[in-house]
Amino acid sequence: MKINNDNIIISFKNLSKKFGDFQAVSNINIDIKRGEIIGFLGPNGAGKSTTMKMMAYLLKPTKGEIWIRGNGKLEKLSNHNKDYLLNNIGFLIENPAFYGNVSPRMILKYFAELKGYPKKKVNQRIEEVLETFGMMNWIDKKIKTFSKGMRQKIGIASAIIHNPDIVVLDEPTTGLDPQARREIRDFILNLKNKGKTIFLSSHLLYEVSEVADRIAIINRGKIVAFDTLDNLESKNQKSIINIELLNHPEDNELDRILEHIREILIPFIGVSDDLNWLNYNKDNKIFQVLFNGDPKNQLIILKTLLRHEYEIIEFSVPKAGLLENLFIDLTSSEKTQYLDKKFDENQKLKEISMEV
Amino acid sequence: MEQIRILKKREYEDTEVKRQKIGIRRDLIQIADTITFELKKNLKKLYVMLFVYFSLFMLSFAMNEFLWDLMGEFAPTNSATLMSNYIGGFFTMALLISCATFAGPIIAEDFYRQTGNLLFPKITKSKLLIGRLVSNYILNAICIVFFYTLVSIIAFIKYGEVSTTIFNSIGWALLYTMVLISFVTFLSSFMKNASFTIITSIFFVLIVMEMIPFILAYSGALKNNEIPMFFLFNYFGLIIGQSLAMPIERYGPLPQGGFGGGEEIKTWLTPNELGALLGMFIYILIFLSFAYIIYRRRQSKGE
Repeated sequence: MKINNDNIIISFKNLSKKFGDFQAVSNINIDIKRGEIIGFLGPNGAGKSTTMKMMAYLLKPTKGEIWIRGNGKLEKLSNHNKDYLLNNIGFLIENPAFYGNVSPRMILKYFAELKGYPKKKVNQRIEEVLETFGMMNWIDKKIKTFSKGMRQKIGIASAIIHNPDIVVLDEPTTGLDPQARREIRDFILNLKNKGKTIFLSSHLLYEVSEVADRIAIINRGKIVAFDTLDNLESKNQKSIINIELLNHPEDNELDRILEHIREILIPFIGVSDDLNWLNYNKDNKIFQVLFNGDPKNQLIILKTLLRHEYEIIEFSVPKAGLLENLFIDLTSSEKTQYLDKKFDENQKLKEISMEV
Repeated sequence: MEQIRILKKREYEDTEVKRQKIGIRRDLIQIADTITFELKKNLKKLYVMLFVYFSLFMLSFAMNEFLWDLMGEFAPTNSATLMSNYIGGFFTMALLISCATFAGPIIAEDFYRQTGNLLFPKITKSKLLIGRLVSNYILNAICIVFFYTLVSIIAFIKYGEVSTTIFNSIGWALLYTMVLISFVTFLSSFMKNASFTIITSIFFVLIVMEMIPFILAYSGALKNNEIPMFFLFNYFGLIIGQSLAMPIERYGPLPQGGFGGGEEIKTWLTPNELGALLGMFIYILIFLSFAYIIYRRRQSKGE
């Protein structure tokens, strides 16, 4: 079997994994193109890490194949060629556990040398990578003294220390503070700018939506959507508007304001009234309006609110909000059952339609 | 636009570093790197183990010095018998403790602490295991040489000479160390974690295997242990101490036999050289083969 597409660098073909009777991953079909960032989204236990472990050959697929480009042509990953095919991939597999009594310099030196990085240049490379993460002051400290976030950064550093062309990151921002998450996001984008291909898994929607070119959503081991964020949104036909007022409502007047907004906007939201489409977040003082995603409706909603003399200081449609909505929609049990049925009907479908 | 793209590409290529190609040379480098890394990683453990060996040496020293008069016919008469007193007793226990401590995590840790998630895509299990076995062996060898040096010093102070049989003994100790490491590695290949492996291996060798000759003798199955205990690998460890003062009677009363005024029980006190050599190699081969097969088949946990 030969796959002809020069741009594809990794390809999953009907990839499946069973643990006893439990189907962890079922018939995954994904093609990853050179230089793109693929976001791999799914709730906990959906099969993300299992997929990544199969890619790293830590787990053997029960069924299906993984094809990786090596020396110009796609080759099926097997025990026979795994060293050679995985040589150019950097992996960070869930919750990297480090030996506590070693320093980042020591462990990164070991990993770089395992991957054949020239010994003379290893120290320089380690310093470069740790500098990127702002961890130069910790280079010779014992890892057992590090916070979870710092360990996570060392985990990412270990994945890229040998300068691979493909980087596979499993939940790279888990346990990190917002500042560190931002650093990781910028770092991922920087890798992309250098021409790297990145396969990034997360259950944090915002993290993925900010960097990914295409997003694969996995639920109960099955891919329920795989497309660009824009296409997924347009197919889903739902979006969220964040609205902040100049004067934040007091507790005693909140119900009245919510009732009024509900009354004036209901003709323009374009989604079922059964949905809980209007919410107020007391923490960040933001109103959230779920609507059908049509820009015309978005404009009417803004005009309507202004006409009723709401003093609006923020009116935005955050990408993560849309994705969150889409994600919940796709991974809800009813939808999943429907998709399961659809999937069984046509297993050869590479990307399951969102129009379900 | 195209020019900019070309420039960017060139800039990236400039920072590209050529890595060592996959092949036998890379394999050997990986094993060497693993040995170096494991040695550095276990440096603190080594210091602790050296302290344990030193403490046991001091204990042996105290017993030899203060219980000298009570030893009667067992009191050492030359450097070889003196060293035999030191090496025959606590030393084998120290050897077991150090082998279990160093080799306990050798496989189990990769799965229990999931450190294997970082390692396996970078190195194969076979190369990792070889590197770790060699480093474990080196660490144990350092401990052995340290203990024998202490024993040699005390023998030299007391008798002005060191029996050359010490080289026989150290050779057997180094070989027996490999048997113990192989056994612990085998346990580590299927045990849940390193601590279980360490405790189980010490318990098994120190208690279970020591009890078997007594059980066989007292149960009447082998009343006088007529058959050499080749089915217990710790039997081969007896040659470490006995080789210091060879030739020795190989078949004699159990050291603890006849206690409580009962009938004297006889057993095999040491294997012969050829038997020990073959026996130990066979045990190493069996334990390591099983350990590797299990290690290869053992997979990381799913989600």
